[in-house]
Amino acid sequence: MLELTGLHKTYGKSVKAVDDLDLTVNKGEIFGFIGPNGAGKTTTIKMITGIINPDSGSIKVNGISLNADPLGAKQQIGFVPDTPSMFLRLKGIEYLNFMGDMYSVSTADRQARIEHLAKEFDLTRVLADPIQSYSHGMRQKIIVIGVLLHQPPVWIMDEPMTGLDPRSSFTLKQMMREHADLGNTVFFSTHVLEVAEKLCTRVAIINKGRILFCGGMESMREHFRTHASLENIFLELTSDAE
Amino acid sequence: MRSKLLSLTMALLRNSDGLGIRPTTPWGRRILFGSLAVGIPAYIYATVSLVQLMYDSLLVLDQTGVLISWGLAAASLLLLLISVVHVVSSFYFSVDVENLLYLPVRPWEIVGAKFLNTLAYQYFLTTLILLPVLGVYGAKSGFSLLYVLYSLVVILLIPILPLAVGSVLVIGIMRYANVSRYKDLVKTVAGVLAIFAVFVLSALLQRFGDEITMEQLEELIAVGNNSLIAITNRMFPTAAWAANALLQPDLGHGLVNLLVFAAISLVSFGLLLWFGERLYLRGVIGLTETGSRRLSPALDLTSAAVQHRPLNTYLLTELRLLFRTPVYFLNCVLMNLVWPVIAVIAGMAGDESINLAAEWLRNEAGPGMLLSSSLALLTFLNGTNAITPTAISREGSSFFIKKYIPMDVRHQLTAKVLSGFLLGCTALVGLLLLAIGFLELSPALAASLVVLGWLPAALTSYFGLLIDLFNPKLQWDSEQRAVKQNMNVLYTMAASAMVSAAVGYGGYRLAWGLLPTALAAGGFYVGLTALCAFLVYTKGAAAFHSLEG
Repeated sequence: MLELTGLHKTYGKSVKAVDDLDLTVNKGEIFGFIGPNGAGKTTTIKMITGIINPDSGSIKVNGISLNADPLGAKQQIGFVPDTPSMFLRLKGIEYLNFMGDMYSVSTADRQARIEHLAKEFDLTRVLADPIQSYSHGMRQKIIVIGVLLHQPPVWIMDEPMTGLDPRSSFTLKQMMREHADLGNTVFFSTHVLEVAEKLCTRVAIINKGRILFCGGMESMREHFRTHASLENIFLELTSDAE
Repeated sequence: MRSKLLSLTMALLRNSDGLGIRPTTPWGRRILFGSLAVGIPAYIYATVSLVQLMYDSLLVLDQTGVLISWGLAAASLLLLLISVVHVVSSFYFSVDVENLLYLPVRPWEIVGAKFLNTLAYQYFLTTLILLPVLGVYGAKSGFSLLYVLYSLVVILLIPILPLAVGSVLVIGIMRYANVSRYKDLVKTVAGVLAIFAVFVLSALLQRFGDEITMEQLEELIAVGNNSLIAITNRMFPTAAWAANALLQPDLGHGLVNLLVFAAISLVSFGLLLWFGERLYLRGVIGLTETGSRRLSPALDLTSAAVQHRPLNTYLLTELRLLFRTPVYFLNCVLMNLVWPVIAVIAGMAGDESINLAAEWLRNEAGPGMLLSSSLALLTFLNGTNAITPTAISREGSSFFIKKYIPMDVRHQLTAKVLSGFLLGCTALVGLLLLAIGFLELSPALAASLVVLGWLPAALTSYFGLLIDLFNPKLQWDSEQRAVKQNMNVLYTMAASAMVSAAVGYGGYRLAWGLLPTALAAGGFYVGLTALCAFLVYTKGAAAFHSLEG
């Protein structure tokens, strides 16, 4: 579960990246965080994961305050960043062991999970190769495997579908569904509104650091009294806010 | 329309961040300002005093010209050594190379633009080395307009030949390195080969100077009238023309020498372009790719996926990245390994200066002084270790990973210190081997060195990390900028040199016995290291938290 209360983040002296953001994402939910470029999505995700510090406000991950117990809160999270170009000179298996050790995954658990996830993503035969030799999609997949090794109660992804082929994209969506069905929280930002529309329990539309709408697809349609697609609602909302 | 070479050169220059001394944090600005405020006057005072002293001593022998000749030759040799690492990094490992290859430009134009960019950086070094020498000589011997003009021309020309020679060497080696699927490994080995080739070249050049007997030397000194230049000129033969022009700055003999020197420099540049046109592309195309993937059989996960302590894994990952990234290996790791190896080889080869030093240390210095000078040397050598002064900077745009993993920052910092410390200790092993082999150390002194010798590595590792925590260079688009154009390396070297000088001078002045020296030096290093460690784990950890990458 994620609880964000009164989050503020300003860059420089005047650019409000996130402005008084309140959000609660429950267990078992797949939550889509959508907004145009520069809306504050990545800044919010960076604050939730402890990469940057909010100017004010609080973040709780499964009831653990990120401020009071940062390591405890981070242990609850699995984070897939928007760029998969990291640890390029490590071999796939070395990266997975790194993540496994950082999140204290036992030998038995990691062996079983690596075997299962590598098979799902068709990476079994390249685990001994340097990540540098992987394609963009393969890098994305190895990072997802590393993140899922400790079965995080809160799985956060920044634009996870970018660079994935249709089959891998399908596999990832299936995994998100399964992860949420186990009672975990899945939170992801995306530009692909169709994915959000079909996959998410709830979505939030953010623009200029403020949440313009938060709720399920049905409540959104009721709220806006329309049968339009998420894309149309999104375009209307974000153009009004310009 | 500007030539492509000029446009390319200007674009690369604008895209670079100069000497890399633009600090991005308030602490960085403070460190830079403080270093410049203290460092520049201290450097000017120290070098000018030293050069004046040398000039006055040589004046007695009527050999003042040696100052110019030696200065130019030494600068050329140093530039040759430095240029090889620069060229490997800039011509081959820089990320922008990939963006140049698809442009409709000739290989010689890329090589030329890269050369001119590297040259611009080397002018900073050249000025730093030569300005005190040329300035003091000019002031003492009476400035003339031609002397000043010739000095400017010489400063502009002097780095060209060493850089061209270094470039040709590297281009030649890389032509044959770009063949294997283990490209990173081959690139690294080629870089190491190029560095050793330059060491061999400089040793060969100096050998010409060594082939002179003591009688001949005495005769030359007796003759006076700058006769010793005949020897110093042999250190780097082409620098002789530049030296002759400055020693006789007139429109006759001097001008001819200057023109010959200019012609040699320009021809060397032309030859490099010719060489680059033929060989550069073969060495660089495909270099940034890693070899094709194997479709290997499935890993045996029972042995490949095993849990370890986070600190060990973090440290191992740091070391893997240092050894596997060619630029990091050449700039951070190799420097630790190269000095002891060179010292041992030089000692085995009977290098005169080492033999003289060994003899002086055996006969004149007491064991206390031997210990303090050994610790001073270790401090200086470890100060050149660029591992911890770039430990945060090397993270670059991936720094955010270290922020979200659930590992205590202090443990992360410990792993980073350990990576520098472990490799830094190789200097100790090298020095011990050298000392045991050539100085016939007493068991008590050898034991003292084993007990205390690791302290300089600990001190410089903590200090380097402390500097990098407050002044990290996280915005870079090529790995070489994280380490080569990083002032934190220079700050650490300068601080280590100061500690080294204090320990060396203290040991020399106090001339205590072995035990008091060991206790005093041990206390001094432990105290300083504890202070740096305390700052790393408190202020440094807070700085780490506030870094947003």
